[in-house]
Amino acid sequence: MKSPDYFPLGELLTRPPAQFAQCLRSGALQSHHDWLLRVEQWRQLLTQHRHQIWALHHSDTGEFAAILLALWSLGKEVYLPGNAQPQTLQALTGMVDGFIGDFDHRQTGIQPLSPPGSGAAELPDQSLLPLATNRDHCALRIFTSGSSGDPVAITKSLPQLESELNHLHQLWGQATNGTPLVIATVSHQHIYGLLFRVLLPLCAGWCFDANTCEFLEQLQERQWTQGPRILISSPSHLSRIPPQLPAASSSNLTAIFSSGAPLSRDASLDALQKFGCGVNEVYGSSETGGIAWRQQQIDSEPQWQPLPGVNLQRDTDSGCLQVRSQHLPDPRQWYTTADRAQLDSEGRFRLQGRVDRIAKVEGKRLSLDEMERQLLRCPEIEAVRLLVLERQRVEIAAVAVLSTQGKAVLQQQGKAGLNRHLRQQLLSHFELPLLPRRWRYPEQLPYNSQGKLVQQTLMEMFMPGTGPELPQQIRRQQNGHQLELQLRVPADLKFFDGHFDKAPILPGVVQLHWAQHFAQQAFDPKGEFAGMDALKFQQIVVPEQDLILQLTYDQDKDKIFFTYTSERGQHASGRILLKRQAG
Amino acid sequence: MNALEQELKQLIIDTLDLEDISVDDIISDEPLFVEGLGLDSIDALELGLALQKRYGIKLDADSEETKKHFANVMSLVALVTEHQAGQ
Repeated sequence: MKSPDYFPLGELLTRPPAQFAQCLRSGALQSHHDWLLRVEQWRQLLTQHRHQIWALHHSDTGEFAAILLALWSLGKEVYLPGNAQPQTLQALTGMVDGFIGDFDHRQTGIQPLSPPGSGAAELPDQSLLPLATNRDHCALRIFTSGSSGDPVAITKSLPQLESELNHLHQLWGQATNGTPLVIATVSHQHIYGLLFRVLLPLCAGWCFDANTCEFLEQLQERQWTQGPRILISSPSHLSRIPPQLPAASSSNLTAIFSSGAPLSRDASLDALQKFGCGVNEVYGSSETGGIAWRQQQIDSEPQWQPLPGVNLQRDTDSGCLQVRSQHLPDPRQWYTTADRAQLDSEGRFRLQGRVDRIAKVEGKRLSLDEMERQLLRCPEIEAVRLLVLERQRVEIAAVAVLSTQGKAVLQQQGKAGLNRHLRQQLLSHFELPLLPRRWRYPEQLPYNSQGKLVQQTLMEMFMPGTGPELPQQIRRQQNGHQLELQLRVPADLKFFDGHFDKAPILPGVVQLHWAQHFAQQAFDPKGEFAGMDALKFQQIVVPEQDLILQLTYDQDKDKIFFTYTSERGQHASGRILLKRQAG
Repeated sequence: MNALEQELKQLIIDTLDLEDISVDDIISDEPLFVEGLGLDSIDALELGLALQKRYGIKLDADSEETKKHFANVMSLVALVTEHQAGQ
């Protein structure tokens, strides 16, 4: 069968109904004709509604695409939430006239428009009309974290999208021999997925998979006999390819795309080896659309090179990359990104990190400022600083100073319990992979003498085994061989391991260690520590507890007596035995 | 807690680089994802990899089946036991 021709976005609905496969859904193919019929059914339903602005979310990409095109054909404005979490949708309620898609009413409280029946409408005799492509008309709004932390709506006109799709097709449209099936691990609710797994296939007449591929293992069953397959993915999946993928997973795979974050060189080459085709990485953002691309090779590490129609320069003050292209709202203006870059004379570049507090976690953009603001709303937290750690995965870590209430939760539920509680508070605002995975609860944030929070100091708090090992000294009084210390047991003590089903307690061995430590420091006793006796542990010690440690050094008997007491009475007591060196 | 249960819990902690959580904190019939332990989609990918490396288990192409296996520690125990019996 001859490959379908390419139709620019604006003329997409003028393509005569055809029998080529447009959409694959759970093993069944939907023809272009039938998909177009679905657009028409939605169109007829929507003409009965005067609402202009619709929020659209649907997990079936075929249905999503039909609704989207029906809305656009009527000149409606479409808001795309990145997910269907209640908080996300709540924020949209004041901005849109209606919701359309597969929202779970019980969870979100949102009642979407009921879908049209599947039988009634017929395709009108004349082909559908071109879309009204006006650069001033906002066809699409997507949301992302702005530098201030507030979600920013990014508007796209159809000509903007059309121009970008034309450029993508120019670069990659002929890369596959025959009509491909497009499979994706990424959501079409974000711009990358929208362009690559929905709009480009629609324009090019390719078949797209209606269901997201959640595990790469599923590739083996998303087959089709007509031609090659293309995988639209991201570093989240491509850096975690199972070691023994069945051969069927990679058969007929002729192109792989990755976006959202740079793919590591190792992961890129691993994908090349396992799938037998290289990964085209696309660099861009919701604001700018696609900017550049690269494909890592075994023998070279190429720089990013601009996509067709994209001009680049480097802002001399900030070192940030500036973009001018038809993919932007105003194609004459330079747009300054927050990414620092080193540009060569041919317009190729290397990225050198961001200049703002936007973190990229598994391809998802997160404003650290926004998450800090949300944490400060929790009554448990007085001050907080978030940072990005690169461990096994890129993750968020939190350094938080607790309020009295926070300390009480810590005391009752332990560190793991408090971590869990705080993550729960954030969950209504942020997607799960963005939530902090590591927490430190110091008495205060580690400002340096210049009043600054040094990133390195914060990072060091997350090095292995770095919780404090000693208690805080509140008061110290020494009288010869008698020492009295008022101590506070810090909540983030290294020795309070998480047991969130029981309250954390201070291990006895740590109490002995402290007694030795302070005795050594205060008395510099003659002889080595040789053991303990008369040990008694009468009461448990919990985080944030104040303790009095009394130490008495009996030089004649080579013993040091210690007791731990608090307002609750005695906690522990015993004797440290010393042994003098012979001679 | 049987040995495999213990082993899988330790595997979860080590593989996913979890902090402040010990084997005793993971409740065998509590959900691993979202609620309960609060694991996410990236953890699911990592866990799938680890099961393949340690036990040679290949995940089903059917994502609903995979989700059932990943529900909690008990269902993982069943998955590994079934796989070992089949060898």
